[in-house]
Amino acid sequence: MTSIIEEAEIINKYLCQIKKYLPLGIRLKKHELNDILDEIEEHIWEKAIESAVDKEPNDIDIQIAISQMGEPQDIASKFTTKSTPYVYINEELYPLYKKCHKTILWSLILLTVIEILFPNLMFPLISYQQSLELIFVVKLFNTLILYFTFFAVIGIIFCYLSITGYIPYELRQYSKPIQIKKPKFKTNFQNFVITLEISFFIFSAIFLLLWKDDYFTYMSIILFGVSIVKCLRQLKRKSVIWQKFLILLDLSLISWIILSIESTFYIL
Amino acid sequence: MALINSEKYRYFVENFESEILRGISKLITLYAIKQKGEEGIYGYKLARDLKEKTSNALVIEEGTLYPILRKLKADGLLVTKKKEYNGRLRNYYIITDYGINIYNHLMGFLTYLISSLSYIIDIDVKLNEERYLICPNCSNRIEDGQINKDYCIVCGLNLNHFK
Repeated sequence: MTSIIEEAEIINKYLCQIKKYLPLGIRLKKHELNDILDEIEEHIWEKAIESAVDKEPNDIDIQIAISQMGEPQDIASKFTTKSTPYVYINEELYPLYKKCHKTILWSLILLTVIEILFPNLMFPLISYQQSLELIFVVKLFNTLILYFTFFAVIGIIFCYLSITGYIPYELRQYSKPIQIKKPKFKTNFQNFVITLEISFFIFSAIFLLLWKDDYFTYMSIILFGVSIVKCLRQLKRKSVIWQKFLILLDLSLISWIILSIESTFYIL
Repeated sequence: MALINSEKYRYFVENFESEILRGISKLITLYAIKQKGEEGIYGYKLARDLKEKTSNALVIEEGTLYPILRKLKADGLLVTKKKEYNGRLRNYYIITDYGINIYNHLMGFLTYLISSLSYIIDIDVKLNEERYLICPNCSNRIEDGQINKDYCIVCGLNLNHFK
């Protein structure tokens, strides 16, 4: 009895390792994940039973069967379907990304319409003494702010999913023998966009610094930092972590700009 | 020094071989499943059958077989049925009608390709024309059950002139 438990533990350990390296898309689907692991487990038992001939398979038979199956990382990598990069999000994930945006936008519009039509239904404690036009403008603005916040959040989630979908195995595995060559010179348009971005951040930083307010001084330091990172982006850095960092930086900047516009609006 | 000891040589040859085998392994997997018909076949038995039938020439790594099966299932070429055996559930793979059509088409293409390349690779290829017909238009392989049909089910070509 103890032996069977030990053998089951060996298999379980092996399956856990496979599970760890499986792509996120499969790990999220519990039914599919269990199906894959059950099938591999069944295969190991069949093989062990066959090599044990007439007796019960022992831990050595299980170990042999496992070794013939291959490394957990190799098996898991075979389940990874190579996706097609499309901007920051995979081409395969892009339709879902668009669908999420549409759903959120329509839900927010619906929510705003309900809120305008029945102001006491959503927030009964807030008194609405302003004119209807002002309420309408504020609500519309809130909807836009919420939409752009969701835009940033969904963007981060989908970027993460895209990265996890194919980078862990394919890029790490083949990064050494196959070097993806980047074009030596950027196109004029790319250069123009980057220069525009850097100038925008530097001018904003100088503008906020001249304001002579603690909060804006702090903001200008951040903007100077961002300008430096943007300049460094021009350097030929190929590491995946650096690329991920730049994506996150861009997305957090978008959310930060949205929040700043919102707070400025309220200050005014 | 023997060429096989060179890492560069081995890397190139292994990559090239795996590129050729990648497509063929799917086709041979479909063949083995098709042979079992409605009864279907489970993963371990399939791996063993493939080894035996190809005289160990086409060895699909055991870890590779399941991703292939999963992909074929996701594409609608296979369906699975769970059957209990000795208290454990086995996944039996069964080929669908769509899978059979795809298999015939791809097998026809492979047959046509090998026969066309026979001059280059210096081999004699003899097509068993009594058992099947290769559609001259789309290379679909029309087997026993469909040979009496007038049209190719893939491209719709009138086959009466070619019988």
